[in-house]
Amino acid sequence: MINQLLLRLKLLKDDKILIIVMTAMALGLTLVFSSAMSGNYKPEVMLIDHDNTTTSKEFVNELKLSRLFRYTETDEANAIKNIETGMSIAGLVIDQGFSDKLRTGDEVNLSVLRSKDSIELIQLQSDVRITAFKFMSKFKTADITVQVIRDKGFAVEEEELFEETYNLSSYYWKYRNPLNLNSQVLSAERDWAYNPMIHYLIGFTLFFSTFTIVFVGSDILKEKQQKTWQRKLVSPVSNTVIMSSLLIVTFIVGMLQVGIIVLIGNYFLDINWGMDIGLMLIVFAAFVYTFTAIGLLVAGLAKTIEQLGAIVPIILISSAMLGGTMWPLEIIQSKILLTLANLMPHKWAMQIISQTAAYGLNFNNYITSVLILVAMGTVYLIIGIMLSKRHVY
Amino acid sequence: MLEINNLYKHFNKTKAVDGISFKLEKGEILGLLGPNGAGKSTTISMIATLIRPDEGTILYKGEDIVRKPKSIQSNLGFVPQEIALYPSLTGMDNLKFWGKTYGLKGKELTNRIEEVSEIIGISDRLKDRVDKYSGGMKRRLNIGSALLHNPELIILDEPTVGIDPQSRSHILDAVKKINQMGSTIIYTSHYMEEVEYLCTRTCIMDQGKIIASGTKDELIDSINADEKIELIVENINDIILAEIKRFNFVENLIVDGDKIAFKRKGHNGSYGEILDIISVNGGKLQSMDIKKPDLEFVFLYLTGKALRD
Repeated sequence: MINQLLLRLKLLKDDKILIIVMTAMALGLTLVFSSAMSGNYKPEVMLIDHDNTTTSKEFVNELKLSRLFRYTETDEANAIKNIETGMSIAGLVIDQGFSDKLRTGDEVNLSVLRSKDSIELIQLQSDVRITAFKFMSKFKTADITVQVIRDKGFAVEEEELFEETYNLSSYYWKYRNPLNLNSQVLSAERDWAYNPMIHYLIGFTLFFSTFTIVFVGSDILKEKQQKTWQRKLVSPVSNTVIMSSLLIVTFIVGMLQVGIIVLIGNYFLDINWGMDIGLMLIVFAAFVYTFTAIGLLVAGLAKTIEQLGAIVPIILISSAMLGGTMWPLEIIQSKILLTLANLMPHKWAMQIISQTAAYGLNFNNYITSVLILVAMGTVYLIIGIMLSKRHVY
Repeated sequence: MLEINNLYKHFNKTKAVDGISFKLEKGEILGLLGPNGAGKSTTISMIATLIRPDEGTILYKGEDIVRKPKSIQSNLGFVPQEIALYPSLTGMDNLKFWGKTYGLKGKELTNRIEEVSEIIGISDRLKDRVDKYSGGMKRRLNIGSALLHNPELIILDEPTVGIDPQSRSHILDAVKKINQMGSTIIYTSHYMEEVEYLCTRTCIMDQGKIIASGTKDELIDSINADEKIELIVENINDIILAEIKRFNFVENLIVDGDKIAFKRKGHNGSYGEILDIISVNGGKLQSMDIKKPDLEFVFLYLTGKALRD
């Protein structure tokens, strides 16, 4: 085993520039992407208010308070122009009768003008739905209040009572949170609040690190091509030892890469990851292990380095998307996609880091996620070992 | 030492090895001779435990290596046709790695590296990276890497492909030396002259089958081929021709200008007597060419095609 490990470490020097470049790119791209997708950046949404009532204006004002989008009132022609030129991601049309439907509890349909589908549109849908729900709740509260008082036999001016109750509801929505959560993150040295940037930072760190890790497969295919692999397979050294040496060295490289990103983020860029660094590195370690094993498995499936080059991006990008590194899984509604997400290592790494960041450390959840990652990795590793003799002749 | 029985290997619909059987005794050099695609590499890959046969058994010292590959792996030196080395490492690093892979360490490893690098003639270049070596040196190191653990059985798969004549001769001499030191060898090639020079016994393969096997003489005898003799003689006359025709072993005598050609039948009689007849009867011998049937001819005779087709 030591001989195999030493060989891999010696061969690493051939790839040192590639590893440094990949790490630097991963660090750079993680920061660029995550800052572009969060922070002060808010995509613009055009608002076209055809209803033009007090309620619709109030609805527009409420939307303008959104933390996700910058809503701008305009007319339809200007909205279309802005969307076509890409200045705005979409236009939201509030049709006539919007207020009445909200008040009566009828189904409200809002039209969205858009040039293409994007993840932001899913977030927009969610943002608008939450705001509309808030208004419907206020109307419903006022409606029920009037109904109860009327049923009790009190003589009141119903319209006046409705208005008063509605206004009070609005007041309490605005100035009182229905529920306050006082949470404390254990061991956190700095004050921390969950924000999307952390999600994207973690997501992109995981995503970009997988590229270097999975290309462990190219080492195997390179060896198969130069026939040193075949020579090792006919030696007394077992396949498990050969594969394990690859796994260990690639794991070390992967952990160095992820560790550098996490530590530079923590100590030089003042990023608070929202979780104890040690605990987070354990999650990352389990993730890197799993993806190294995937790399070994993929090497058994591909016949040439060129094939691997074609397969890897497809696997990495689709698994990262499904696993929720590029957007929170909370905004996904499709049961199929959510089920598929369970098969993606990213999901388990993201989930435990996000959960710990938001609600504090739950040891059981933490261990469960780490164990699931390790179990996934072990299954992939076993399959990888079984496939190690493929395409050797 | 090695016994192969009814070995079959298919790749999709192609029969790469089609029911071959042979035995290998200790100390032999067995040549597997055949054109590209004959099934030589597939056969040795199965013996080396790299791929599993579809059918048949391979017994090494009585153990079935298809079921128990470990029983041969420590005693086997496998030299693939390709240069199976790490080009970015030095020759020494490569030898150390392969030696340790077979369990050598410390003084034993150092001594073996010294001995093997002497045999293959690369002692003075061990500190250089392999990618700086010439093609011939890489081939020699490729062989050396399989010799470190002093294997009982060495399989060499076309070890002289694409190298200069000098390196080739060095490799052939090294193989002879290794055999003399006690190793049993399976040597595949499509170069007839290499097999003739090295091998104590030869299996001729074509289309996945062994079409003939034996020593060189046995193979030649098996097809009843005759020697062809061509003499270039000044002043050919009727007496010379008549005298030559009287020999029992002379057949199909043809005269073309100053050239006399005939076939030799059987092993009796000597060419010296013919030369005397020419000289005594006023002829002057310019040259004499004896074309003996070789393995190339045997292959051509058996398959109807040349070895390098």
